[in-house]
Amino acid sequence: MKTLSKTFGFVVVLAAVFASCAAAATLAIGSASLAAGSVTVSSCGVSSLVATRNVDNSGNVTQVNVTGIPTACSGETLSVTLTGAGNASVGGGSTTIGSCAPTCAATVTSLGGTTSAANVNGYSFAVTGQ
Amino acid sequence: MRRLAILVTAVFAIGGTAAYGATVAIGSWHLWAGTQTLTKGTCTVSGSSATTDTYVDSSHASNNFGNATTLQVKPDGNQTLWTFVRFDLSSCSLPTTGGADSATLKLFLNPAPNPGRTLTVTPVLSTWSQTLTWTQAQRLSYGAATTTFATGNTNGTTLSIPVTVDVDALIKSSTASYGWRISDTGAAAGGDKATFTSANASSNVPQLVISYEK
Repeated sequence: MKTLSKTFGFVVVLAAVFASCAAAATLAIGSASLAAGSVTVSSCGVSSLVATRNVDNSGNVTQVNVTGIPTACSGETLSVTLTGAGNASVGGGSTTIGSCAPTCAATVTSLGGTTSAANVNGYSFAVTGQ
Repeated sequence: MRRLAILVTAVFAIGGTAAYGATVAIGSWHLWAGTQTLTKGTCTVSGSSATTDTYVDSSHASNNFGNATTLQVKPDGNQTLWTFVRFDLSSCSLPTTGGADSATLKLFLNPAPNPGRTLTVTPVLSTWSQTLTWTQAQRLSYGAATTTFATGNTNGTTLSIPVTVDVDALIKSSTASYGWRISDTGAAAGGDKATFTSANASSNVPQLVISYEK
């Protein structure tokens, strides 16, 4: 009985240690919220972006040109999604933002297939980087 | 002892699963997301006040045909004919931040060449007027050919010719539109003249139909 008590105590301590480790390294993600400890997530200074696109003579999008990107975003990744009816994706691609001053421009030329400009109702942008 | 081993194993398994199953590693990342919504519009340009068109004739190099009710195209030979057509797009209030989704030049073919011909559409990059002559047309600036199209040999047909890439470039550059030259670069043959209705006619006049975004 004494041995069993000692064993039980050892297991409880072990479980507590594991639980602590788990909590310290865990970023809890619920269905609608995100929590983190001291992680920093910031933008590189983007407040808004404007895109235009080029077309071929059949009216298909050949490239998307994005301007007004802050210099601090140089080297980061710009992702552009072409959105159609109901905000559904009708194409898109990404590129690395090059070095530039005073602002950057980026061009996405590989759009994942043929997309008619008539079906593009807008753009969604994401700038990510470390 | 066996119970202890089972218990320890269970604790490790539960602890490990809980720790790694919900862990997301995030370093010091930059992240920004946004959207841009486009507005669509259409514009159709036609009529004598918004259209300038004519044809020029190599065999009458100093004459102009700006008041004719037809536009004519004929390949190289004893008599070469080129057609010119341009539109005043100011009534469309086209934005400079958008572009053309599509642009179609519509010409009414009557009579048709027989057999049908393949014609070439070339953007004109310098100004010209309805009194253009063959001699003057040699001094105009031209871009690379936009497209070619087949006329067919049926009289009274409206041909739809895509010129999207040119109108898209015009919208973006906000430069004036000097329209297009239509020519026949093929070999001369019998029945090779294509005739279109001009803006001076009472019906079936040239049209430019534009769908755009801004």
